[in-house]
Amino acid sequence: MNLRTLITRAMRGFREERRLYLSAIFSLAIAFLCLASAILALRNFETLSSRWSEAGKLSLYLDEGLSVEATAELELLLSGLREIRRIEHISNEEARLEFLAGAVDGAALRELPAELFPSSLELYLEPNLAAADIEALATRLGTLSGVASLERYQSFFERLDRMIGAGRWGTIGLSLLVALLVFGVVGSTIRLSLARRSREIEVMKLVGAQPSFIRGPFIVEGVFQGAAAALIAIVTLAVFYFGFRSEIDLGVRLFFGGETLFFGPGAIVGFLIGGALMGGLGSTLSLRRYLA
Amino acid sequence: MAISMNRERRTRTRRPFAFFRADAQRGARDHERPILEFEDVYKFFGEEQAALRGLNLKIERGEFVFLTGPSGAGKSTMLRLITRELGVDSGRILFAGKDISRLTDRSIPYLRRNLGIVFQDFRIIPHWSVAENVAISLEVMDYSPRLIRSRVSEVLERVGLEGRGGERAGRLSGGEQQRVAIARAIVTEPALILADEPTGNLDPALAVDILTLFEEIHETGATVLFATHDHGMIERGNHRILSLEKGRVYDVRKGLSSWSASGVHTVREQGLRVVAG
Repeated sequence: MNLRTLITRAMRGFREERRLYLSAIFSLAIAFLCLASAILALRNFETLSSRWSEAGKLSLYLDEGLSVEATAELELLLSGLREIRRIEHISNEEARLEFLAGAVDGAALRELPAELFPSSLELYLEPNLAAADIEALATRLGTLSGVASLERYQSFFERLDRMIGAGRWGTIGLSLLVALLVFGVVGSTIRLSLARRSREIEVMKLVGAQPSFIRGPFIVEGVFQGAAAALIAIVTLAVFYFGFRSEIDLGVRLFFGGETLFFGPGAIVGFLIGGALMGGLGSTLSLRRYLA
Repeated sequence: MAISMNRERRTRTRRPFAFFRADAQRGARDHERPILEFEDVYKFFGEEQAALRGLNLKIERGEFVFLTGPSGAGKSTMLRLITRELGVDSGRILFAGKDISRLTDRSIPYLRRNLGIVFQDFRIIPHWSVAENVAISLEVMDYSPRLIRSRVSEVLERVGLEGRGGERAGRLSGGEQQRVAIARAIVTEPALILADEPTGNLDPALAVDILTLFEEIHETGATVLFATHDHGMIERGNHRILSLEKGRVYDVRKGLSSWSASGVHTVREQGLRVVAG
């Protein structure tokens, strides 16, 4: 059967059963939207985690009232360590301004005195340092005079890693659930469509149609359902994401720093192809079952 | 080379009798053999209920044959054996000299492409157009859209539906719907046309029209097996008659144009030759 005839017959089937197919597409689109949202959230967490871990940052909070000379001496000492790539001094006032920039209600907090915010030395480490090296460095730095406390962000990283790990498993589970849902919805649609078009199928068999001729349009319809549902899901997610991006990024910047990302063109094409394949596979399996 | 192989594959798909083994050679005498032969065919439904009991018959190429008999005599079973909707329990059915009772499932579509089938209930798709209903026979054979349009147009003219290809088939009258079904059956120029009570749902005047149409198709060289229990139809045509009763066939030869009574008893009373029974 040539491709043109195949697509023409599939489109005819879609026109004849458009209500059935539209309801199936919207059911699938909701499932794909959940999956796409989960994948997008996981991808952003992974990007943030990777960005942070690559940055390899430590914060040394200085003693209150530490003199400028003592701070400079400490900075000189630290710049001689091979593990440290760059040092940035944050004064009390700079710390206050940074806090106010990230705060939701900056106006109400503007009166806070700068002394409430400790000055610090932000240490940017060399990339690809081993965890043991960072641990040893942190132990040494914690004993230096003039250092009030040290923030390694370790517990945060551990929590983030655990969260990402759970997110990965959750996304895999959700993918399986969505696949089952796609097979179920496409299967039910095909079954109903086969029942409604039983006369057509009977006639085709009587005039000598091969099974592939009968199945072909149904498989194309399944592929179309999957691809259309995936497209609707991506477009809906994009509308929500870009519509609320400033609010989302504000929250992310406050807690994690950095900005979120949407899917790239490759990922979008991959998602559409994945949807189409799921639809096609679902219809193929259903036809095997119901078109005996 | 690839183009040549593709062309060969496409030709093989379309070729009549492609349901035979790929390596099978058609014998020179195949064209001389009857188009259809039943050799001692038995068909049972359940252990004791025999629909056909040792059926033997031959239909030559280019014949027009009426198949008649009371309800339950086995007419439909016989036709369904030819189309391989059913399989035989024993015996052989030869179509153009080849045994179709042993065909694999994959080969059955190729057999059906060589048959034109018309039913009492038309079996057309009401929401398709007239042209789409006819074209499906050619689409399954992978003809080009242009050729399909041309052939469909020709055949619609032949059955008296010229210029009506775009109409929805379900909106036509019963007689016109049956013409669509006939057009679908003959558009591939099949080796054998099977008509299963094609006038059963039509009023007498329309039934005569449809019979006339089948006779015209037969005059172009087609072989027609016309199943009916309407003696009015049988009387009108001067064709060979096969009568079925209780799974056996009785052959009433051509020329019995005044056969007016019903059933096989009349055949027996008139002392006509019993072919099998």
